[in-house]
Amino acid sequence: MKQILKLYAYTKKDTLLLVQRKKYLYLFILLPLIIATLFLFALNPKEYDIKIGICDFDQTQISKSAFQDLNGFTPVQLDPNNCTNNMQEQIKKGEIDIGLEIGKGFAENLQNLKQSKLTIYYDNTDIAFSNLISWKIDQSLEPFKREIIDNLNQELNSKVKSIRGGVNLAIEFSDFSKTLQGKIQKTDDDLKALEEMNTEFLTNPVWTDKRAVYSEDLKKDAGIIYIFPILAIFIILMLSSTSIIYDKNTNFLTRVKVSSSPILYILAKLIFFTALVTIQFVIILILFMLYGAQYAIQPLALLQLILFIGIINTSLGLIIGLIANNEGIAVLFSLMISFPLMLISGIFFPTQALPKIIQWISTVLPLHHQITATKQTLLFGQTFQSTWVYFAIFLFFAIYYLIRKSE
Amino acid sequence: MKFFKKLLGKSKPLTTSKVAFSYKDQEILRDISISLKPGELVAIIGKSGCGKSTFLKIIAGIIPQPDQGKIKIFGKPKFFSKDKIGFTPQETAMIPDLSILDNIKIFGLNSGITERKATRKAKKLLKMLKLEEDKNKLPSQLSGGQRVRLNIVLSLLHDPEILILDEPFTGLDFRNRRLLWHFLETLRKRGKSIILTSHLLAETQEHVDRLIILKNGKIFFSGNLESLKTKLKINYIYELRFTHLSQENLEKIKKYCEYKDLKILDSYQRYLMFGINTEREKSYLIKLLNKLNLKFNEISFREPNLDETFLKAE
Repeated sequence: MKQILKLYAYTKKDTLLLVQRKKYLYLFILLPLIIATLFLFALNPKEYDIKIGICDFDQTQISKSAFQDLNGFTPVQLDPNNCTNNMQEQIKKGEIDIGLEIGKGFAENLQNLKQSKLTIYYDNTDIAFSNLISWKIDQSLEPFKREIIDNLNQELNSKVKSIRGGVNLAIEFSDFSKTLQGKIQKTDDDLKALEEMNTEFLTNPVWTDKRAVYSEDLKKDAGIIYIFPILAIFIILMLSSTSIIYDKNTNFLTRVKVSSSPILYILAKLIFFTALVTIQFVIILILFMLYGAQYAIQPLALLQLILFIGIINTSLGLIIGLIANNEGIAVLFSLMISFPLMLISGIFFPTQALPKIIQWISTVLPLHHQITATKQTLLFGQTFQSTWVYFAIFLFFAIYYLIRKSE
Repeated sequence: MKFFKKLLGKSKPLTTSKVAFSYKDQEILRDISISLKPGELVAIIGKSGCGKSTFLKIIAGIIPQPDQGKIKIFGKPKFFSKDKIGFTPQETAMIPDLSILDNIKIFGLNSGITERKATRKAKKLLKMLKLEEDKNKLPSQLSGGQRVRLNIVLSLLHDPEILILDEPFTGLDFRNRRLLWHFLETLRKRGKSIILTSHLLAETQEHVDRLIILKNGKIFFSGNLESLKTKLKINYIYELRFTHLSQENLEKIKKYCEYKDLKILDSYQRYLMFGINTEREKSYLIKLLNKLNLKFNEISFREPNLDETFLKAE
């Protein structure tokens, strides 16, 4: 009995503490809610639309109508002039998600019961999306292919009927009359058509040729554009938030406030954690380069990238640390921010297949911009927009305010 | 330039005028005006929650601004004089995972002096506070009293003109408390101005130049112990233990005290402590007790210390 009472006491203590610490309780409930909801959305997207740019070089009734109603795709007819190149550029800029090229003779091939080809262009640096697109396109073309096969079946039936009629007639008139000769000739032609029929056409009337808009090597190199920002946000949020809580708990922050302005303290944190981000980046970069990846490294663009990721993530971490009361809450907060960000970042699930609202959220959150910036800097050697600086200034003042407010 | 320096030289180390501060609609401090002379040791006393620590935090800059009022350090706004202040918080403020030496270096740098200067200064201060431990030790390896002394040393590395200490004697035994008082007196002799809070009133009265009592967020009294006794009309303490004391008789005694402006400073079961202004008041009180047929033993009739005087101020 005494043991049961003790067991009850210990359990009750933890339960009461959980209820007492409201932030723990909210995070404890919110974290699984957010992550499970996101996961379910990502696995079962009810409504999404992928923008597909179409270059129709065939310009026939079939080519015009066949791709207007693809499930989950929004077709955009592109200007036929220099269409393929323009389409690839639009994919690179993110204006369309994928491109579809319908070659000349597409409809004629189908009518002659020959296999037709469609060329699909996609961004192979968008890893999750490029994995999805292969089966998604085939799935969407399924009704169109079914229609072609149904037409073929009807065609075959009529040809077989025709042969059967000719053969029956030949049996009825044993003498070689002119009528019989003509019928036999027709039967012979039908048989030839059946003999020449392309067997590939029977199994797959439309062949989709998928072409990456960037060189295939880039897909391997592209791993870094996800791994580096995700690791940086995950680790820096945790480290910087717990670091400021340590300073609060040990009263270091009190001494800082007595002897100087918090500005220097914030700057020191930003410098320190940006240095950690740099070390992380160098480790990842060296590993990828040892594996054969090649990057267009421009020192200034690289510096901007590291400053962007270091400063924004550290600032977010410091804000978490100033809001949270202890390290446990800070870690939960960091998890609540970084884990859903990872789910909707595009590495695990294609963002294009997420519901519109989640897509919008993902573009507002920092990880999306960090991935885009890493891609532009490392894969294409370009600089990215420095609008993040305004956001960083806003975060800086928020931290300054919170430190002054804290006792 | 010399004129300004002369002017600044004449300014008092610390002046606060009409400082008011509220937190969540609750008035913590109002109309607090004090000034501190060079080489003056002042203690702020008051009940828990009366705003003592808040006031020190406002002076030190931990609470950035009061709602009203001004604080000047040597005649300048405190923002420009942070290096003149050394603040020792109530809880130890040090980095527990770094050695004593690293703490000294880091907090020295934080105060704007070089590591070498900080180490040199710390050596002197640690010697004065008899804390000559191995500097490679972690703060967690020190005793509670040693940590409190290190906490004070870390606030003084930059040799500030004004020292603000929030409950510096908490956690110190008698020997260490005496050591700290001697240390503070040495600093005072060197011209440093010191303002502190303490709950150890009896000890405080012996060492400070001036007492400031805060009551309900306002200054109730500012001066020395003698003028406080005069103000509170409490020159004697009279302690009695009764053989038997019924609730009815206790109520009668209380009513009499209220009527005669005497105060029962403490009561527990059959024990009563009275705060009395004159010996005549004592004889009146004895007359009443005899009238009530109460038997009692006189424990003491003596001058009150600050603790007892403070009980009347509450």
